[in-house]
Amino acid sequence: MSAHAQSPNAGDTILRTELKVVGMLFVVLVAVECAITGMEGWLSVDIQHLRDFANITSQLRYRSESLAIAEQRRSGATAIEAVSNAPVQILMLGNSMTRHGIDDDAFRRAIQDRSLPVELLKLFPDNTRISEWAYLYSNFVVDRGKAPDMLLIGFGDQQLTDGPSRVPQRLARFYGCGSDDLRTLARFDLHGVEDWSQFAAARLFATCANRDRVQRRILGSLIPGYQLASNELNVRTKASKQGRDTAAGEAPQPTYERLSQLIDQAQRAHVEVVLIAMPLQQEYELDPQLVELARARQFTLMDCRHPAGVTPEMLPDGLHLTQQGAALYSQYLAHWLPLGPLVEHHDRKLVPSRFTPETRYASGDQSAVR
Amino acid sequence: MLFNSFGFWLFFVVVLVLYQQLRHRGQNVLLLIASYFFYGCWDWRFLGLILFSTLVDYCVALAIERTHLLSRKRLLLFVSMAVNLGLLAFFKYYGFFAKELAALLQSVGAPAMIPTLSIILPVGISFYTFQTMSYTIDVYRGDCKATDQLLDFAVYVAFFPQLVAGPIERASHFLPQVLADRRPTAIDFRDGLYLVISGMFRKVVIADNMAPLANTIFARDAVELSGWEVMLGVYAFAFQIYGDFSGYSAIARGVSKWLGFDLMANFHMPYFAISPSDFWRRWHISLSQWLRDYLYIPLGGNRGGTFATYRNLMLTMLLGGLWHGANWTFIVWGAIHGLLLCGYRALGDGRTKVSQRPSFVGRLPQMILMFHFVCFAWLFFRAESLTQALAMLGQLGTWGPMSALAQTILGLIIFFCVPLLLLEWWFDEHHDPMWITQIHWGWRTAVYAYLMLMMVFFPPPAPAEFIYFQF
Repeated sequence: MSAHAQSPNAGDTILRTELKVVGMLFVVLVAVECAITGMEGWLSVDIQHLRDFANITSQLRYRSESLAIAEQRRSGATAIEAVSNAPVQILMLGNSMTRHGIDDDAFRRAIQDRSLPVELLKLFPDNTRISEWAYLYSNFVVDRGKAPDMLLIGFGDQQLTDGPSRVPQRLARFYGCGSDDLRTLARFDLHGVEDWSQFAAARLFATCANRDRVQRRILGSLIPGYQLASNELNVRTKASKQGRDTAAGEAPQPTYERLSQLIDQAQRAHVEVVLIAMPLQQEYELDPQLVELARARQFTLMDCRHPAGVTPEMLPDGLHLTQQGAALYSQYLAHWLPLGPLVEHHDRKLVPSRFTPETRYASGDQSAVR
Repeated sequence: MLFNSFGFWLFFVVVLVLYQQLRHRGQNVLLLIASYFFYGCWDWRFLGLILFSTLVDYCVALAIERTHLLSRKRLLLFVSMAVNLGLLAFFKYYGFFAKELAALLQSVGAPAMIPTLSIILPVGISFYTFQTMSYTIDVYRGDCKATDQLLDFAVYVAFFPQLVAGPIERASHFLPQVLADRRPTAIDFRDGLYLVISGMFRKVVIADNMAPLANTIFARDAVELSGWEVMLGVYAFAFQIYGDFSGYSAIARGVSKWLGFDLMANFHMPYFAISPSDFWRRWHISLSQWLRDYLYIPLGGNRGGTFATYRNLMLTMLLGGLWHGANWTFIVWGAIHGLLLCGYRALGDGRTKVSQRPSFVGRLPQMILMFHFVCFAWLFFRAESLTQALAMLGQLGTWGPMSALAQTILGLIIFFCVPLLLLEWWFDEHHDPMWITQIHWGWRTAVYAYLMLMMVFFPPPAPAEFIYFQF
């Protein structure tokens, strides 16, 4: 019990004053929420991109339309007309590695050499992996009845293995997660009251969804070398968490359930799926389980870890290609991209002659697996 | 269930709403259920341990009060001490002493097979065993009356705001509050609001943002570190542990205020201390007072001459270090503080009345010196081993240009911690740690808004548990 004595009137005055304080705090928080909502796009280029998901995917054709065109394209005599009227739509999913790695002009120029008109649509939110791409594809493509002709997923190292989302607050605000995702969220991403509360808060308030961006902007502008040093700090924090998980016997065995679900969704709509192992400065192995999955589920796994001409110096931070590296990588990708399945049965001439099914399954240089 | 979690606040709101509807007896029943539930969320398996400890001290204290034979009183006190310290020794120190004994026997050529056990440390055991022991000792000394209300005594032992990390409450201060009717006042609401907001700020913004900085430095090989990096890593840890523990204590006090309880203050701007004795009057006050009253003074305090005083200081601080954990690093940490206390005492350190204190600026050089002594001790406290601590200490000789990492750590320490120090300086100037509750509400709102917005926008990269839960 408080040691302070007080008269009833004094108590009322104190209570009224404190309620004023609480009220003003509430006003401040509402004002901040309004300000963040208003200038959300200004906070980062990535947020602009996140808010653009619906626009980008709206350019995709509806599934039935896509199927009809694909049928026409494969139906012999009319294939060329069908293709010229409706370019092949390629949807590229990835993260900042893809954003920096794909040079649109170089890609378009190289793909033109293959005499196939292509429309390239890209979704590459920062700091994402299969945990986010699965929701993105499901909520913005499948749920809207859309379907590309080809789905490219650019990944590095372990970005396709199952694991919780690193940005659940962004899932809440930008990835269209709703009631039909609750089971998946509960299974993979949100464990316990804490996670769900933060998810709900981010769903309701822009401030909660974007606070890490504000943090990075403020610290980045005030503290010299923050960006560089924060990478090391993040690596250390992540390693320490992994160490704790391992010690607690929680080290995740690599599984590909979410990838499988995404591939199911795509293949049900007859979308050609291609996974692209991207170059990183640090060498990484392709998981044999993933290779096996590609064989079993009949999708293409392209090994682009060492594209011709791309050197480690073209990945100055270890992850992102320089402009020069991006141009080389894009040409390489466009050149080897297995467009054959879209037209192969009746119109082989659209595919480079060296790109036969046999070389697609296992080529010494490019090791594509199907 | 961490104080800085949605789960805790959901739990607390439910408890508070029910609490307001109940009368005194019902409130205590609710508090006991809530406390056991709270502890059960950590590890329900150890609830039996709290119950056991509660029952032993409840019975022993009653028996002590009812007997007039001194020898019987002593025997009963011994039983209580043996049970409480036995629990602590088994769960906290068995592994350490078994390992050290095996190593010692090995070194003298008499290897022995001492069984090793994988013992999980029950959360908060050091806090609640010290609390129950203090009750029995106070009853033995006649400083406190034994209660025959088991329910109320169980609430005293398990009161959830301070169960797992203190403050270590004395029965003479806290038990009467459990026994009496409680009606939270407007002042309690006001004080609680400040304590909760400032506690959350200390934990979420200061401690959890300093943690990755300290962890990064302490996880590296010492040879890779420069003097700057070692120094800044230790500074980061100094603020981490301060923010973490003082934040927990402040939140515990704040939520207790809202329930109508007044817990003792556990921290009082410790990094403004000008001497070791001043530091221990400001840092983990409930533990330092416990050690003073139940260890240092019974050992003879400063009444037995110079040598005895120094011996008592060293013993008290060594055991204080060991209380933190079964590791040589904690013992060395305690030894450093013991030596500092002895050294300052030898140089004539005495208590200075507040009215005679020099100005803040006048005290600044002493504060900076004391802060660095404290940081020196923190280096041992945080290191994984003495070898690591000594290796890092060796790197303090290698100064050169600041690395990018060191510059960033310095920038982050300034960004996060300097505003806290300025706030504390402001309170210190007014000789009142709750000064903010006395100022105009507009200024108070501005300070709270800063604290809250920092919590909103600067959450830690990885929320960490409270450090003191492990002790």
